[in-house]
Amino acid sequence: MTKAMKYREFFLSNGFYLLCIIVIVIFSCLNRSFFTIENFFSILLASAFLCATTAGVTPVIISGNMDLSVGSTALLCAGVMYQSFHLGMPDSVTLLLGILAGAVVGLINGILVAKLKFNSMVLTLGLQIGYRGLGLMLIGGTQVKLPEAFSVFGKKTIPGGLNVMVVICLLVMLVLHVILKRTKFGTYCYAIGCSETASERVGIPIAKVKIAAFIISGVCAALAGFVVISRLGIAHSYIGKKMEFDAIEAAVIGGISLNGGRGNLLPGALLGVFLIYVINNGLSIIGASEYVYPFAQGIIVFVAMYLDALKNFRNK
Amino acid sequence: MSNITKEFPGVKALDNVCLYAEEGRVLGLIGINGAGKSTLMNVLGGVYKPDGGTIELDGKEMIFHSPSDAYNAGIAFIHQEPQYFLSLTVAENIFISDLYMKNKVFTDKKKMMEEAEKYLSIIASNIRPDQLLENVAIGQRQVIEIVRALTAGANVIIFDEPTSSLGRQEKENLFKTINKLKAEGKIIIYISHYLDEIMEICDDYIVLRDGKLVNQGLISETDKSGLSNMIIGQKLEHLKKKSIDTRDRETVLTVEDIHYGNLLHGVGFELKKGEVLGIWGLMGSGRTEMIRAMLGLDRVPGGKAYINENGNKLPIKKNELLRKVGYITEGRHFDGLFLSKPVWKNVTSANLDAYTSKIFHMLNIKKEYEDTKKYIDLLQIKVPNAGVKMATLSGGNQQKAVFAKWICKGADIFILDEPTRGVDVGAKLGIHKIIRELASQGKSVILITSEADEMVDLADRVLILRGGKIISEQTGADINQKNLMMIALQGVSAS
Amino acid sequence: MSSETIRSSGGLLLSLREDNNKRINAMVGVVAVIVLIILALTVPNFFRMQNIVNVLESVSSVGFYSLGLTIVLVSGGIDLSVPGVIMAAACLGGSYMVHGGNWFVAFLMMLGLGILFGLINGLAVAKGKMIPFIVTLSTLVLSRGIAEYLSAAQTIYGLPDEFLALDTKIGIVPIGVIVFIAVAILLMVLLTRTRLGRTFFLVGENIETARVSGIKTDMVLFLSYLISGFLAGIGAVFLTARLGSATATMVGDTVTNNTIASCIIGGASLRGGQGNIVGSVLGLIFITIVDNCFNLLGIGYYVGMVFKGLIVALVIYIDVLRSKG
Ligand SMILES: Nc1ncnc2c1ncn2[C@@H]1O[C@H](COP(=O)(O)OP(=O)(O)OP(=O)(O)O)[C@@H](O)[C@H]1O
Ligand SMILES: [Mg+2]
Repeated sequence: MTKAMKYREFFLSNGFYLLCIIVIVIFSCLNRSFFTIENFFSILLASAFLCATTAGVTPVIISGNMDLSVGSTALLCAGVMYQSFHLGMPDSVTLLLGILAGAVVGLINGILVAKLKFNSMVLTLGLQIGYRGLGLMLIGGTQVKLPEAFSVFGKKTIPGGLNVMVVICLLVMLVLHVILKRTKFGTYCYAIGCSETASERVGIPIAKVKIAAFIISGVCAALAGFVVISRLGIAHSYIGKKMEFDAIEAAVIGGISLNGGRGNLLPGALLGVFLIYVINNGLSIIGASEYVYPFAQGIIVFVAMYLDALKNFRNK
Repeated sequence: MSNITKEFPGVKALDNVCLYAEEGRVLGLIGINGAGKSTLMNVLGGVYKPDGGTIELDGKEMIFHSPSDAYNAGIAFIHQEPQYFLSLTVAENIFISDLYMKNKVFTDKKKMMEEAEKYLSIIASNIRPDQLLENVAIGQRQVIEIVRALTAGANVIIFDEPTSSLGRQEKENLFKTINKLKAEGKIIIYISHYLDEIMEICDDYIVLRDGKLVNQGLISETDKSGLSNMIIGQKLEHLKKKSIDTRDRETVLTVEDIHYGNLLHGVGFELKKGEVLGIWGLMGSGRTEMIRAMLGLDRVPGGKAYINENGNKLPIKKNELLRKVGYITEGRHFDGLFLSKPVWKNVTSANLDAYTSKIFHMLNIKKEYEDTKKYIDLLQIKVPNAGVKMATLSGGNQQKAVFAKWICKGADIFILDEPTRGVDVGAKLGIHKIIRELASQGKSVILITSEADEMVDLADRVLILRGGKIISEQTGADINQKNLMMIALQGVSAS
Repeated sequence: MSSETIRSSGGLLLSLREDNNKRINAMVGVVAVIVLIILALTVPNFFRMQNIVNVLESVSSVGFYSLGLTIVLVSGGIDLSVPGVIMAAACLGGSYMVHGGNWFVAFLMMLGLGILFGLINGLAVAKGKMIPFIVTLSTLVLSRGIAEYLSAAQTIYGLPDEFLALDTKIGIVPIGVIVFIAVAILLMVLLTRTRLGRTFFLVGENIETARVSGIKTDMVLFLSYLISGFLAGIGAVFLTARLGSATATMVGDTVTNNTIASCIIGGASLRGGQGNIVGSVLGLIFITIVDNCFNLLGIGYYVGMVFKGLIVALVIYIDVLRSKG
């Protein structure tokens, strides 16, 4: 009895990790080239931009809001970088302008949510259309080729063969994890997400924290946009499509609560990102029909969430 | 504070109230439910802006636009309905407005734990600083808010019914602390419906009624019955207790083998027809958890319940039992009320079947409204009309509304967890009468309360929880303050 | 916002919302009418009968989403899956009919698929205790996948005349619009007058209290998604009949935005426990007209997007005002 309960306990608290392992084992059995270093790197590379976006929206989610504009922000920033390149700016300025654009978008979202008390979900859902429109105007076509120089960024690797972009994105995640867990700002994010009334009572600068969270989200989205275009060498109108949903999905299956106040970036959200890309990568390696993708992804997300729900329910 | 006036739609909550509090003294603020006590303190605490009047602190006029303004001016406010950060640790909850920092960037968690430990041990030693707040029992959470106010080093400390969920030991510790603060020359304002406490801790008193200041003076010049006269404007007769031996009566509900984490290890009991069964125990002894587990409200394994129908003992599923009983919960805001719905929708919410037509399941809204008015009169709930939103009622009146909701449902078994929390002396007597009446009509009542008086006045039989087990059953004359305390604390009876 | 709206003991951000809502709803109404008058005077062809019928038709075909969403929002959830479900149902019925299937069987299949997705969403949220946002997002992806698979990314056309007859007009009003109005009235009564309706509100406001009060919360949540799924099925039928074809892209990306925004203009709140059918429908009519005017004015696609984003943002400011009180 107690032994059975212990197993149950173990299964419940580690269900998500078990799920990840099971998925990996299944794909490894189906195709030998899945479980290789090269493939692991390629999964990392493919998921790098999502690591950045997920890390970025996490402070927003934890402080009880939602940012559905990250995908469009990524496109908008890609547009800004594309234009700046065309105007012949140096690389560093281009990058800086892109990041700045992200920060501005975050600032706008943040002010509207924190000062004017917009509902963040609907606000960003609405503005996202606008940002995408702007981005498309800047790119000015469905697909444009970027200068050679741009994609050089995307091909650099560190010793060992790992792509620089991957390293940067993982670092972003690590840094944000530390910020959330160990700094005043981080603690405030959790506090506001738990209860705004209580936060107001104890004198937390709610508006400032919220705005900062949105700026982080915008900057990370810009970084994601940069990663995408420099890897592809082209800017196209599909950049960032569904990126916001993927990011939130990754965060949630990694255990971050959409009600705010709960969850961790590491290892939760990181594994969430991986899981999504492991599935995509695995399916493409075993040559599954493209119609299978949404089903596989949908089902895995369901299972991950169900495990999480079981765990929370037991804890309550 | 002078000439403070505050009006809400339909009520003048404060009418030209002047309040003067001195350093190094404790001012008791008393009055019936809805008198305006919390509103007055909310004005001082920056939650409400007054319609008129001024606030002066140390001779300087202050205008607070938000609670944080007041906080920064050195006013700490322990609210009647505290709010917490559920997913943060106890230590973070305590120091949230002044986090300890290792350096410019990082917080110092270790130091916070140590400091929190120190402060917690002043009031209640069984809360660990590294616990997540959601794992602290609802009844104990108020301690955290008190400790937070202590650490903040404020000059003015407002206690709005701080002891309504404190145990005896915690209460004593709190009073010691208040006396220390007093000696340090702080200004303390203390709201409570327990006149014993007011007599014990306060130096001055102020009585509010209908938003007006009706009386004030020195505590040393009055006594308990004097205070209660001033509060309700008439003499209180005391409810005489008639103890009934219910042990041989018919059993209506049997509960067996309830477990709850490390808190309860296989408890069970029988509830008899027409009795008030008291469940007594210290804070955190698992009284509430026993009930929640019995009703299947928390996913905890184990536990069986049987209900007696026509002499047959039938097993009953937990969620069916939940639908059969009337359950006044411990936290009225958490799971007692729908705060943004009007009073009448709250009162009928547990009894919708009675207002539903056979065909199409249409609701008889008019009848709902009329019935609610009846209960408002019965319980003397102070509201402009039955259509105002629940959130606008004063704390005690909200509690009465929870009570009304379950009277409206009219179950055979009532479970009352702290039914009179925050209710004024007069209304409390009224509720006590209703509880006794329910029992004499043959309904069975399970009563959980931290107040020994209430237990002694009402219970026919008392079960005492200690160390996760029911260790003793007391009846008749054995139900007295001293005995209950002794058994709960030491596990042995006084005699 | 003034802290007076925070009833300290209330703890939640509450104010005298009911009173304020009336005032603000009236304000919204006035502003909407003014905007409409301006548009009517400046936009050519606005008042042509054909244009008005167009507006009504597009309201009714995606309007079923807005009706279902109102109920889900009231009970404290959200349903993002409906656009996908509509397309999946349309492609299912469409491809069945194109391969010689009976139109009525196809009709039932479409409703059935809607109900099936409502069932999945409902079970996952109510029984599985999963988060509505992610559940319905996943079923959105799933149902889109089904639509793509069934249509093989092609347009399905050549539907039987019996089915297309669902788009006939009675007078100048298409059947779809009439059904929409009937369903809206039914749901309005359900929400305001019946026991089930009341429980939607109570569960949406505070599920813990509802549970202790003996309300079968799981059932209530489940039913809200079921209704939403069923309405998605009906929506699929009339949309397919009107367009005369089915594709995996027949419901545009902006529909979700427009619908959520319309419910919120109409008085629903993402915090649950608030909302009403009439408001949602009026909100939808407003948004559709604004959309329609952009088309009539011939504003460029990208610029139109920017404007629409701004308008949605402005419109939800109403929700802000409402909660501010
Ligand atoms: N936000 C509000 N809107 C409308 N009326 C309110 C609001 N807050 C308080 N009131 C009303 O003001 C009056 C005074 O309420 P208050 O909370 O100050 O009473 P109290 O003395 O603290 O009572 P209790 O002992 O029950 O806590 C009550 O009639 C209450 O209904
Ligand atoms: Mg009060």
